[in-house]
Amino acid sequence: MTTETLTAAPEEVRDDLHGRYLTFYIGDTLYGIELMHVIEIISVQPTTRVPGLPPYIKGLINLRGKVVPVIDIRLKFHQEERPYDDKTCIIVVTIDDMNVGLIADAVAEVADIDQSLTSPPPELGTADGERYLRSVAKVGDRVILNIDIQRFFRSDLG
Amino acid sequence: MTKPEAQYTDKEIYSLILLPGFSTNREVTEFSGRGVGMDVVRKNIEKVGGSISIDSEKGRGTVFTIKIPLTLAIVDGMMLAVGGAAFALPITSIRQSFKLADPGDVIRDTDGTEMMMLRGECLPLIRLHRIFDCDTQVTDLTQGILIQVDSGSRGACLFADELLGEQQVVVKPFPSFLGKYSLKQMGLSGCSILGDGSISLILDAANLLTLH
Repeated sequence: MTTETLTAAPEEVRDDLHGRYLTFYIGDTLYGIELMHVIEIISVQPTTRVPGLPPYIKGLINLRGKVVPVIDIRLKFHQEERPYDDKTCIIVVTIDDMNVGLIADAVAEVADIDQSLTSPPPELGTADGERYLRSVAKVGDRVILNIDIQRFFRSDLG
Repeated sequence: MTKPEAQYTDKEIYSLILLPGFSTNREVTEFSGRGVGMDVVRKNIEKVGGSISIDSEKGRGTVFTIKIPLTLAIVDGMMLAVGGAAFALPITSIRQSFKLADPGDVIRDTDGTEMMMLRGECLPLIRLHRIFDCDTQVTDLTQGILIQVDSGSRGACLFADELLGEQQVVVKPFPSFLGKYSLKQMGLSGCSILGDGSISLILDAANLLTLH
């Protein structure tokens, strides 16, 4: 898979990224992450395991000389682990000036999601995936669950 | 220029080349003349908390002094294989390494802790594969390698699969994202990117000794 690089836009241009989400699959479910948090997407690669971390933090990778931690989204959502294949990729996101990789089954596309198409996430989400949502969007016949990145990382940064 | 010309020290004048947009070139070429290069150098050094100063003497030469803080320290490490992982152990902590000839030299106490008698000293035996939960075939003490480490007055024997050789490693701190997991309190002082691009964890002997 080729490496796609999406550079984080400087402040002035950031508004153009609003409403744009990178969508990706975990199983058959389509999730979205605000594009402004996405730095790049790379093919999944072996991680260096670090002892003493929760199992969903797979380890570290060398991203062009920088050491970046990688989280397996499936494991974070308490879903069954699935062997990585050629569609599996690492979405590198930035939060509070830190870069973290997220392993997803497959990347779909960048979707423009108008605010009007979104609704608040389900209240009593019992599935772990639902705990981290900021909104649910219906685009055509697809449902996209938009992840709230602050909530997603809250347990790691708290 | 904020001060009268005469008040600038030579060092300050040489440092002018580090300013963005400053160039002594009359013409802009493909590679130089835009006044960008030295500013990039300065910014990158300062980004890791370092500093750069310049000294020069016409006809003799120029010295660029780059100071980089300890977080980018270079350590002489002995690389240890434990399962599929490679750990770097600072050579300064190592007294000696050896293969266990006689399993009888290892004593087990009542709660299962393993110890070794070495020249009259009783040293705890720390199995790296166990404390770091590494998958390895080498669990028989006679099959791997023992490394006697010490720090201050304490000592211990670390058990690893094999020695991979000496290597100078640049110590990088763990990503700040992992800050809450107190890796430094687990006997790991940082990580390093090796020549082949792989990542190795760096062991802190002093910390390991206090933990086990």
